[in-house]
Amino acid sequence: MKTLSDKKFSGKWLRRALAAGIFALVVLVVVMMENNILFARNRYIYVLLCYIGIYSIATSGLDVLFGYAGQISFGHAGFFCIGAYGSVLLSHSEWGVAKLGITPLPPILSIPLMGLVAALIGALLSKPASKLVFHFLSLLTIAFNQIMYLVVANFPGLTNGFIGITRVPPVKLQLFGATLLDFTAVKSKYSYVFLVMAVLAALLILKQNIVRSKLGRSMIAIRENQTAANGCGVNIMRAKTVSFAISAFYVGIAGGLLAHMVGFISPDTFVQNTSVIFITMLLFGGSGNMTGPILGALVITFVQESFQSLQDYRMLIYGTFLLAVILYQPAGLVGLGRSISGMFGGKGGANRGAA
Amino acid sequence: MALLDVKDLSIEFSGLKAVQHLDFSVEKGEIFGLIGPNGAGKTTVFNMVSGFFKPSGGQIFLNGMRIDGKFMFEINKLGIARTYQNINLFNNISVMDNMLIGQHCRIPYGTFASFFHTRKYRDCERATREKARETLGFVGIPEREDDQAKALSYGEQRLLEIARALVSDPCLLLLDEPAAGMNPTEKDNLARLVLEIRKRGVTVLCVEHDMKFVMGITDRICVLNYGQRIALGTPGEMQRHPAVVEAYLGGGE
Repeated sequence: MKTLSDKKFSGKWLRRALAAGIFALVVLVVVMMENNILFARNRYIYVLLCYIGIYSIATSGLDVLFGYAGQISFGHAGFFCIGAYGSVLLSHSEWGVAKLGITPLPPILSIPLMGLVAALIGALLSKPASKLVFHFLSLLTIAFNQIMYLVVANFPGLTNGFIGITRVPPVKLQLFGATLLDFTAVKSKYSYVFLVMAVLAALLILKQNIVRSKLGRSMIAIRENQTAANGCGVNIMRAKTVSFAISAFYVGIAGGLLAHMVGFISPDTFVQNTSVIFITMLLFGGSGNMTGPILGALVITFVQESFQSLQDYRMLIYGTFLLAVILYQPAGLVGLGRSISGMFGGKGGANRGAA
Repeated sequence: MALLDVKDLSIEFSGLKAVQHLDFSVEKGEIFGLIGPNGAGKTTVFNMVSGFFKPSGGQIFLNGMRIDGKFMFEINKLGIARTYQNINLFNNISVMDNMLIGQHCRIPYGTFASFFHTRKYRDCERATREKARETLGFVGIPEREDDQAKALSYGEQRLLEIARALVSDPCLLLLDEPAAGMNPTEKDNLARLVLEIRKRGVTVLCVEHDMKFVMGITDRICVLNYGQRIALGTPGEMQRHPAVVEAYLGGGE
């Protein structure tokens, strides 16, 4: 008994040390890049890192819903859209609220605010969604995605329609008129990556907290067995609502970060394909854990960039990726890692089922 | 006042009267058996008491409070925990996690504590884990804590299901065919366990096919046939009751 708990204890610290190590490495790389030691000639890598961070946030959010609560969504680009457009419309000096004669908010406030709005809309969407399963749920979420797309595309007075909005204000941290921090992606110093990484780290800690609590266990319970969950005192409707809301919050934040990074948004970013990319990342990396979504975001972003010249065949490539993963490695890259470490006698093994 | 009072309970599924005008009450501290031939409506009664089905007529009272028509999770919170005829575990997660989910409605911290792991979270989680370990020890599978639930043997899965129900501190435990598929040794151990559960102050309502098992542990038995009560009394009385004998062995033609 004693040895068992000791072993667990050291394993926990090993994992924590590993996580801290990876985090330190990321910070080190970024600092070196910032001081032109690493990748000095290739600033493109910063933008790539920002994309990976943003996609990691969105995919982690989708993981709360799919990996833990077991609910599928093919419409998370809808929440991405709410976060991005919402934040831009709240903070832009020419479009959105400015058109209505209201003073725009600074982006540092509008991004989290729209995260909360996305969560609210997610909670509302869960009301009809919690009555549906599998393909019916997929259809509902696809429809939601389509609605959001059409809404932003068809209010040209507010959103400039299909043309999109340029000159999205950058994120700044201002206090009494003085700029303390300036997060921009296109100036000479790419400090935006710090912002993205900080938000990613905070949201990952929050996610780990959630899944290791009563709340997260209620989600796992409905994924595993709804009848038993109900009998164990889990309010299924509530668990579904909360998982939809949390998931939408993450994706909404990611959308806001994306819009203020790129400086331009148009409805094209929020088509159905984007939702499919999220799902691909999640399945490829492995759902129901912390590292899976990040790995997935990393690999798929690189794939996307390396096949830039094959734009038209992108969905074909995703399709092949998805099929390969579902057929040969249902637990994703994380599952592959586990089975490899299991092969070498490590304490691998799938002890926590990845959905 | 009886712990569980079932009054004039009826349910029909598109015309089929599965249970009709059923009355019985379970006293506190009792082990009460519900028996009957296949299709007599025993599990249907269970499903109504635990809130899985909504009865089409009649009332169910727990400690004088009307519970029929409430949701399953509400009834669990009020103190009824159950097991299932075909085991319903959370298969892909550890035995410990199953036990933690079992205590879901007894964990006092809220959403804020879930998000930010406050001091209250840590204290509650520690107590929850201790209680889970204690209960696993009580049913006799303390060493399986870290295993996946689906890796357990059939008998152990049954025990885990009972442990998961017990850990939510119920006043009434519903066991739906707990001995089904068990070998004689396992059945003996189970009978001992049910008696131990009663000693902990938990009232037990049990559906079972195995006559030896039921006769051995119950204080009173209600016999159902075609959704109606045909007899109610002590095991000894039931063995001699003509209606029960006829239902089980068939009338002389």
